[in-house]
Amino acid sequence: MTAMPPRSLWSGTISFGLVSIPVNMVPAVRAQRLQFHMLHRKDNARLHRRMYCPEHNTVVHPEHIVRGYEVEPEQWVTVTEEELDSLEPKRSRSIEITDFVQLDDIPALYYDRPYYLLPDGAGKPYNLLVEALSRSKRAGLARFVMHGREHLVAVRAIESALCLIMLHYPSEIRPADDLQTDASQADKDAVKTFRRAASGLKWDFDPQAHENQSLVRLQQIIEKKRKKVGTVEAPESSEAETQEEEAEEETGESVDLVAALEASLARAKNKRRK
Amino acid sequence: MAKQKTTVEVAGKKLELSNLDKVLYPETGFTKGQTIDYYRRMAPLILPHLEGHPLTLKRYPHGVAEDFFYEKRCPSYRPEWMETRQVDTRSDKPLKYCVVNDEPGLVWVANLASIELHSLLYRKEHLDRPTALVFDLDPGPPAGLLQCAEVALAMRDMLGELGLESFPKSSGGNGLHFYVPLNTPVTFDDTKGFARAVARTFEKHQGDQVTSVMKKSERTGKVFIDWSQNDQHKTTVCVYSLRARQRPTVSAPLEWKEVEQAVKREDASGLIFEAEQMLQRADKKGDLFAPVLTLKQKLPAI
Repeated sequence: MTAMPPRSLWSGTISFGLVSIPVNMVPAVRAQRLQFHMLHRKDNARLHRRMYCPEHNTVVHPEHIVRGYEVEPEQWVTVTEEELDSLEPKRSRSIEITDFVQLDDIPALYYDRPYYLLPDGAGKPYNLLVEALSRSKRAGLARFVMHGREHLVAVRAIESALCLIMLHYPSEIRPADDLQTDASQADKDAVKTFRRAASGLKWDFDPQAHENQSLVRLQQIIEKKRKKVGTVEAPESSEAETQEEEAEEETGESVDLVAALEASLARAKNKRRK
Repeated sequence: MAKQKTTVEVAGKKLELSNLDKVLYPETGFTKGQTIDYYRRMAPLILPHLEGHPLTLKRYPHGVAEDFFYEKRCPSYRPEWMETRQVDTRSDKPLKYCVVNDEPGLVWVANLASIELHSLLYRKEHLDRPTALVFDLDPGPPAGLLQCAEVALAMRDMLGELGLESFPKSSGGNGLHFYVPLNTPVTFDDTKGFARAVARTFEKHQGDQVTSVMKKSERTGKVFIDWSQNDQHKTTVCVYSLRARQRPTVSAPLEWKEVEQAVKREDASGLIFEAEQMLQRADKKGDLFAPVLTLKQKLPAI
């Protein structure tokens, strides 16, 4: 099976000084967690999450839900969608690099999600930037708005491509001195012994050697069950319901009501036949 | 061209009407003057159905072939005697809707080229008390009015088994509207839940004929039973309202025997009435929808 080309999440230009290079942004990693759907055990109908109000013993429709931020226990400040929308920064049209920093100066802890920036059109200036970043071992820093949030990003070269890495903000990073560890107190001789012992182990990082074991095992189980036990499917009527469910208001349709309606429909049909 | 204005007196109130010669239905030449005249002559029948119900005006200032707009807010330049009612809308701030209770009010909204009158299902201050349960039967081509008629008869029989009497009206187009009068204490939660269960039951047993899903792609060749109109915020076109189609058709109340006949003859054209036919029919038949105003029915307590 060949991989589908990843969908572009954003397109615009990457720029610094007078240079501007059109690029498309695609995710560089894909989530590999297997996602499960929740099914009703009795008939495998697909289940939906609902917001439930214990006070009134009812399901609450999205339009009657408001966000509350708990400022003190049981004390909330409510925030509307409009208020949140008004804070949303404008989507960036370009990634404007403001600084070029040494790659090593960005602590590993700051790295969050990586994306590729692919050349959109002419590859010449793109290749120049890749080459320049790669040789200087530097990354460009920029602020960049996507999906309504502003991100601090680093643009660096990875092999022959540009890579954009979303960085954590400093306030998100827990300083190591909070942890009350102190490496300076380590015994010098003991450190030497450790290094000697470690040199016997492999030093090159070989990602291929580190398969996601739990994922593989889970996939194996699923494949095995599929062959042996087969698949299950939802009852016939549920498809139509799941499609529209989002738009609907929950009004608590009781089983008895449905039964009564079915009985009356059957009676009406019988009479017509006579 | 200067606006032509005509001052008339309706039930003791002076009204200034404008552009009476303006053609609103280019295909037939039906004018704004005829529109106002239709509503004025239908007043005895339509007013009881409008009374107390907040109204949305669907206005066609340049006729049915041009742009229209829904006017929820009763225009600020309304006469001071025009009744309004504050309505909580879902998206906007509360708005003052028009409430048409008398002939001058009816003529005034008609003069705004409000070809279609869409009313909320509750009356006066009883915000959570629909006066009727409604279904909008809307066919997806190639299904049409005839298929709606078949579904409506099946629904009538089924609800009849539950002791509920129902009344049909044409939409003025290819659809049918199905009313179950209530006129008893009931909430929109009750009616919507019940209506949805009815639609789903039909979908389950007559899935080749019926869908309860709004999506157009699901509707091809089927009748969509729209149960979702049973909502405090939703309007339904009022009985006897003109429709802004190519010809001046009316949302006309029907007799069940007419619906049966259409199905039997496999010809639903007899279920469509235009303004002039409606006026004659009203003389002959009176208000076929009168029971919708008075018949007290309760949804089965289940």
